[in-house]
Amino acid sequence: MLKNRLIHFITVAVVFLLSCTGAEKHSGFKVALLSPGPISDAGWNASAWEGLQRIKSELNAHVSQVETRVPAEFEASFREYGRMGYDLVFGHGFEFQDAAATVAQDFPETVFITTSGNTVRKNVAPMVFQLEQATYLAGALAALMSKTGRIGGVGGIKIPPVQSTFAAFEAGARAVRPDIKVSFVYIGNWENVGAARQAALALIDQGCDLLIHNADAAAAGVFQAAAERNIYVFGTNKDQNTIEPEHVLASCVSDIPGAFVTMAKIVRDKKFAAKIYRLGMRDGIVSLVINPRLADRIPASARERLVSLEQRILSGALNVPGLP
Amino acid sequence: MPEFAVPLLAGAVTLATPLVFAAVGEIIMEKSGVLNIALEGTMLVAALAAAFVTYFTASPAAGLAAGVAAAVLFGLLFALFAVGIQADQIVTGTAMNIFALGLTGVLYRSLFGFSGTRLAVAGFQPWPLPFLKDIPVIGTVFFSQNVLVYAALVLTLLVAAALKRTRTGLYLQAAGENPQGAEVAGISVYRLRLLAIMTGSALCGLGGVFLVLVEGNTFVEGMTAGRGFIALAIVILARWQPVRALVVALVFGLASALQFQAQAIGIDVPYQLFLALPYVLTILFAMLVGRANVPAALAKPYIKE
Amino acid sequence: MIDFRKALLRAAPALGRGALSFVVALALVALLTTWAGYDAGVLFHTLFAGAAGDGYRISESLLRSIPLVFTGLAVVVSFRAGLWNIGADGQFLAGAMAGTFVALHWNGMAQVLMLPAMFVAAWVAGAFWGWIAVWIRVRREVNEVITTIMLNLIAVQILAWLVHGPLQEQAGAYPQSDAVPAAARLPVLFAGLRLHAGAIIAVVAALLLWLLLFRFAIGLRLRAVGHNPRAARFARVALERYRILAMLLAGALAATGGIVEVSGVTGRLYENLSPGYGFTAIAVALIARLHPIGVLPAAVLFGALDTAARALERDLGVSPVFADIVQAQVILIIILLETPAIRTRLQRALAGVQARMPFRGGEHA
Repeated sequence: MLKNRLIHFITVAVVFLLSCTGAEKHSGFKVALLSPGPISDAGWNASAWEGLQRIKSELNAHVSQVETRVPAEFEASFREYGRMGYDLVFGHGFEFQDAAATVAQDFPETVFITTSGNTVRKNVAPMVFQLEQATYLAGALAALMSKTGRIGGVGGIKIPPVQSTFAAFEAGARAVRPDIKVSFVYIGNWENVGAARQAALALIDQGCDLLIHNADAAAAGVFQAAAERNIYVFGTNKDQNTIEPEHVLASCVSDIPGAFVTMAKIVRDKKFAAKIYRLGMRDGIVSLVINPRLADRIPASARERLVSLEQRILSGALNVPGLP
Repeated sequence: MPEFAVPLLAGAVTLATPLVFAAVGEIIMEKSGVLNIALEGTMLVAALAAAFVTYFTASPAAGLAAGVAAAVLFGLLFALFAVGIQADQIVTGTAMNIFALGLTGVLYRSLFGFSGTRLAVAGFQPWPLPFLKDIPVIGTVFFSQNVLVYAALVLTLLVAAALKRTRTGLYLQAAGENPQGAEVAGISVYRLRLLAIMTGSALCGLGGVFLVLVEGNTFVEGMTAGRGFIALAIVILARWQPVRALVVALVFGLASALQFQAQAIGIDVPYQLFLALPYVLTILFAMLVGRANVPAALAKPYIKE
Repeated sequence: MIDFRKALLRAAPALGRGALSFVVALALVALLTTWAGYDAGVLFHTLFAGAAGDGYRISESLLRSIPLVFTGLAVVVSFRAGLWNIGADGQFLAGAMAGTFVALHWNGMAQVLMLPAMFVAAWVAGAFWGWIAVWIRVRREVNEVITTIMLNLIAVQILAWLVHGPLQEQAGAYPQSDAVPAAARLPVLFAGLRLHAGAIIAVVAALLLWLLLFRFAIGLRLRAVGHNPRAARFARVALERYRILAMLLAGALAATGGIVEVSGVTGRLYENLSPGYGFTAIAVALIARLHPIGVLPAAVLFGALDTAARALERDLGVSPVFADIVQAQVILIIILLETPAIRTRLQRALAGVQARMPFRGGEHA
């Protein structure tokens, strides 16, 4: 085991060092990413970084990334990439909208995409993930599986993208079980693992036997609590089914890397249009991924119910509430 | 006792434990006249070391040892400045906090930053104490925890006793109250402060280890989330007494456990104001009560004549 | 009357030592990064080009140094008075919050008065935030180090609460305030560049503080309080009054930084408005050897470091935490350069300055 880990470590280190040296040949298509936090968070920012790496390998593009720590840096970094002739710059969060709109006027050749948001300009558009479709299904599944009639969720900071996924989770639960009780706890940041664990334990103590999270890196504490108290949780954003294989029932996945590649292709092929790009289940970007190891714990009736809901979302018959 | 009280109290104990480690460690240092504001950095360094070593060895015990060792090394660096060259402790401490944030960030990213996977490590399992765990309420709250919680309890009592009753403890306080006088009486102030920094940092390191090996089984950049500063506040509120620090930490732990519980029941609390609570209490306490038991030579570099 | 040239010459060796420590820190980092597999030549080229490669980047480096000038000056004035004010960050945020509040609630009154009113509000808030700590120090004898740290953390949470609650944008979507009206924005200095009038305010603030500290009796006494409280008390200087004054000034200076950042750069309140300017400010003040004029080049060094760090990440993929490490190293190396004790050295330097400035009548011990 030790040996395997050392090998893993060495491989990662070597890849890291190699990736830092020298300029590679590329197609001339240049894509950049502004991440609001460290790309080592195994969550929101890591997904964007993965998307960028896929753009690099699949589209043979030149890529670059910066971590912006304060609002003063947003505009500066957008502008630098504009000046350097980048074709596409992602601002990975709602907070990048103002800066994107300002800078975009001066660089009409560059397309600026913000992940979530509603600001649209000639060369600015938000890319909005309809993760709510997946959390809606997760809510339904949770309500169908709950023995106590109580379910809940742990959030990081109370921002619209988190609140809307939770609202959909609640709506999904109510759709299949109107008397279900749903509560959410916010911890106020994205790093405090201990607080997330305690928040999850508080929900479990209130009788919740299925939990969802939207707390980025701090979610480690939610998984930890679920394992300690032997309940099921849902992963969010990425496929987190393997983190606690016996306790993560399913993950609400938005294929952020896939969406990055999709957007990059649109821009490369000059098909960009100034509009809100909504990416959801129908685009194959959002999905509820059941943990294969736990699939047999879901009763057949619940599974049928889930499939029919999924069909209705896909066909457009069911409009998930709170969808951006 | 209502049924929700027991898990609430147990939660308070868990939340309090890293604070207790850091606060008691800081008390040792401050008693010797050293104000080390780099608790946050010390915990962070210890947390990263514990996570890495546990990952590679799959042994939480080894991770614990590594975390404590890293904290002591970090403390030695602080001591090099604060004691070795009698530099200003506050400025040094500020630099050390920034340094720890950068260092852990660079190290963590160079190993895991680009892999996209989470660093998952094995942690300490709960270890209920025989007989004690069967006491109603207290058994669940205090004695069905894991080994680090017991260590926090025991170490706090040990430190309290050592400060009051052992010769080293008394010398230590002399170094913090009147270093010149202590030196005249044949006590080496430098050696005592060094000792205090190493012991204090080790304790503080245990707090960082706790975050990794009990609360999250992973490392997250900045995961200390201000605990080092809350510990500084606790020291003031506890008036430099380890057992009181334990009590204050428990009160803080209870406050945040209550806050989560309130949200879980569906009460909409502005959680930002709750997060500020320990700091507001400290300011109010300082305003109302003021100076008491502050080691007279606190934060003053001692320079041999 | 005021001999700037002489003053600069006097400060030169000290500033030289500050610059040296910065260079040593960079060299250390270069060594480390080279060892990690980077090409030192490319590294330094990117570093310098990123920070000052052309007019735009110079403007950006200067822009990033503006908050550091204000917080750096705040640290200087409080350290000079013997107060270990770690709270410039909280005072910065207090100023930003109060100033933005005024701008957003300015209903129909004369637009020209809006900016001045914002500044006054920021000063009051920042000075109040500093006053809490110094009041506790003076009246309750509790060290200001811990209280200023606590006040920082309280300010951070109040800001978080404001942008999620009372000051959240009307649309109610995101945790940010509405944009302040155009009349609340500081003008830019050069078309096409972001550098704004806050830069001029920063230079003026540094000059004024220098005048106050080194050309007026009040400043002399303020420094005496920090450098030798016992002697100052003998000289019948009311210690408390000067400590309070220093902290009010510090609070107002840092707060100016906060409102200038909102008014000149962001236009809104956000949660993470400061990445810890108040802490970097300590490094800035130390490099400047606690001299107000020295704060200007020192702040520019760190502002440039920030822009350079971004360029390194952009072009070479170096972690942005790199800048943190440089900052910490700069502080530690300065302390090393000032061995033995920084404070005794400082006192000697202060004594040297004072020897050249005879006490005026009535102030002799």
